[in-house]
Amino acid sequence: MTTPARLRIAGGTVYDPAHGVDGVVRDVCIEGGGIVAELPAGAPRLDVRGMVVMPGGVDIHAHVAGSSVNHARRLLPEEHAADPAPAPRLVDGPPPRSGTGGTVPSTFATGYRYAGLGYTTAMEAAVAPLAARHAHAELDDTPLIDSGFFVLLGNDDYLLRQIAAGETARARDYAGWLLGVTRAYAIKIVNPGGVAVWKSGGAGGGRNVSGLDDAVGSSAVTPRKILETLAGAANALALPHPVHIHCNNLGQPGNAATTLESMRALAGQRAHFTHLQFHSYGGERGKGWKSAAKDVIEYVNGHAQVSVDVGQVMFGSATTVTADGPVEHLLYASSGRKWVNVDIELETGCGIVPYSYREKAAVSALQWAVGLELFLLAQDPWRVVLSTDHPNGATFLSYPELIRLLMDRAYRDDRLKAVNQKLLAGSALLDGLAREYTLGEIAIVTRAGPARLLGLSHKGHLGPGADADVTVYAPDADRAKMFAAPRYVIKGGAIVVEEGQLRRAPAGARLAVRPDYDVAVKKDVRRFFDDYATVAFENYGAEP
Amino acid sequence: MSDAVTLTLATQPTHTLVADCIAADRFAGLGATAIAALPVVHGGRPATLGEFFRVRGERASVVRIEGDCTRIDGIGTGMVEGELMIDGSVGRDLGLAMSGGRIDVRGNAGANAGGAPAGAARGMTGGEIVVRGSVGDEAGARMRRGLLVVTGDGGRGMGKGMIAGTVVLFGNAGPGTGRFLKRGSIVALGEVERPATFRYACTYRPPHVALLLRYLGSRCRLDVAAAQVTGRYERYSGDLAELGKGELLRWVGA
Repeated sequence: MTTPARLRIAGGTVYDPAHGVDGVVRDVCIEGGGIVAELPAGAPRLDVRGMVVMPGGVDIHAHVAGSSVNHARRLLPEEHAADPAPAPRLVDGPPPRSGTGGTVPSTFATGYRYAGLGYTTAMEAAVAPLAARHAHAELDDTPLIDSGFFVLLGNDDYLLRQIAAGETARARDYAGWLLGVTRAYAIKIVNPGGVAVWKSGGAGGGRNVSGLDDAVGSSAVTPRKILETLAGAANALALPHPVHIHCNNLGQPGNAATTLESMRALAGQRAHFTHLQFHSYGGERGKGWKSAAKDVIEYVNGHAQVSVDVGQVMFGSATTVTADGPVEHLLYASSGRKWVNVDIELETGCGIVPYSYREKAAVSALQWAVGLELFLLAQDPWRVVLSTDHPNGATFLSYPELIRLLMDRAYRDDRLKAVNQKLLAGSALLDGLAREYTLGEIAIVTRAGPARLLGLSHKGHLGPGADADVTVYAPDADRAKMFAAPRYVIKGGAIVVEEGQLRRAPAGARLAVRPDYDVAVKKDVRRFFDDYATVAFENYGAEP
Repeated sequence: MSDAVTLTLATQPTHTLVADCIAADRFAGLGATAIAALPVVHGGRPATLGEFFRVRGERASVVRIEGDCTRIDGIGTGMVEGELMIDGSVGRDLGLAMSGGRIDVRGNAGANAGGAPAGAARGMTGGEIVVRGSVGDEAGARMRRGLLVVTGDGGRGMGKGMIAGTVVLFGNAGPGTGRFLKRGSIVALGEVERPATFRYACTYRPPHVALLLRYLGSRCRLDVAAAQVTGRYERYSGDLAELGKGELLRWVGA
């Protein structure tokens, strides 16, 4: 069918947790790209009786565009050869494009595959300000998803100088200026201070920071100060999404202590801690690993200002892509795989190592279990979002399999038996977690929750005024099968997936903020650019 | 089901033809029309195998190819089992990342025979390739397991970055042979230049080489001299810039 201006999605079982609708048979009405309360009886109908209707999926944290992702693509020609993505057969709209898949698909393929999964919004989680224009260009070529990005600030030279000088207000204004000039959506911190130390070689020969109170160059600058300054800035600038934090010591045994300390450092303020699974390990460096998921999620459960996404690891191929250069060096050294490490001038770093998580590998199995523990012990699904940190823990194409693990205890226990048990002693998962997510809870962790945490009031729900982003699934006892192939996907009112086939690929919208700040900061930043940057102040950023 | 599938080159490609669909195990389950319909890429454009080859026989894991396939790349890519016999020369990427079976070429092979796809960590992981002629550059690169035998000369960087496996070269080796070798053996019966990062270990009569050469003489009917079978070999360990557990065995006479 062609997409009518009005459409009644009739007779489906609706899950719209934002409005407390949990499996109620009712119609969803669409007019002019938005959801409306009611339509005249004669409006065109899409009969979805017996099917499950949810808002379009919202990915709060994925790596899908920008220079780091592009480095990863260049590093992986073998994946492109193994997974060509032919152009889909579209019925109208812009011409379809072929591309490549693998763990880091090309831009168009990324959009097509997200929509094929019922996702209609995705946030690129780490863009260096210098690469902002590149990221926008790539997101422009990623159809079907509304997208935005988080701009990297936790190791930025100008920012660290302001912290060293005690200029908190100027740091806040700088963040406000940078968000606007790069057309970003939120502030991202990656390994606060650690990347700066890695890049400078460190004063005492250190290659990273190890705790919240390590000095970063000046003794006045510590990871704790960076977290406080940027969390405060995000909240003072009234950004829709709080500061998005990748903690220190990612992927190292015993890092749960650092994670909890970071959370306590920001107590009372809104903050989002990302890919929490990678930050929830007990044990000690050189002396073994264990799960500390219980301690970390307990803190999250008890503190309403804290939100997280899990960053689940799934078995199979992945590509680790992060601004956390020192972590990638560790990963390269331990895996012996090919790698890239990049110094992004005054701003940040970047590292990439292709990786594979194996069921028989003790650490992979632990990571898998820790992620599931976080999900299953979380009390408030609104603050614990489903993610795999695509493509770090797994690609977004593994979300359906992850949903099955959450919804089907028998299946989960079966899989648990097949993995390496060496490091699982003491994990709650091994003790047997009975919880099974309901469809309503899945709708929260994949759509309503992330939309709310991102401050996207027009996403993640089906009330009047929401964007007409709707996904319709045919129920199946095998939840992986059900979520892997939605029957219908509607994006901005257009039926993009019909009977399981991608039919249309309209461009997505850009999500960006333009906060108010004291413009006096620009004068100082300009002076800094004249002294240190390779780019002229006038040419910086990504304003149209 | 036939005894063998025979592909006869009927139309010489005018550009490079990537025919990575040709693999003995794949043909074992396909009828003649399905084989002819397999996709190939001719000069960057999609085509079918049947546009170039006449197909006789079906559903057999013994495959014969007749004709000069110098312009045809990727024959035997990812082959798992079966036998592929080619009466003529082939292009690059012969037996790319194959894991089992035998490929026998009565002619020369291009670059990267038994090698790895661009960017991949591993080349061939099993099986045998015998080239009764010369090979291009980087044959056996990043090989993980298996046997590559070349009766003619090797190109540059033969066995580059081998992880394990065995290369036997009857002719002369090109520059950079064995560089970045982690493990594995390169048996050089002709001229070979020792890479700077290899260290002389000893001169001896390796029993495994004798066994291997006897096998090649009887099973593959290769022309192996008695002096090569029982002769002395200099063993160089390397690549010491890598893991250093590989060996380059140079024949120094009876």
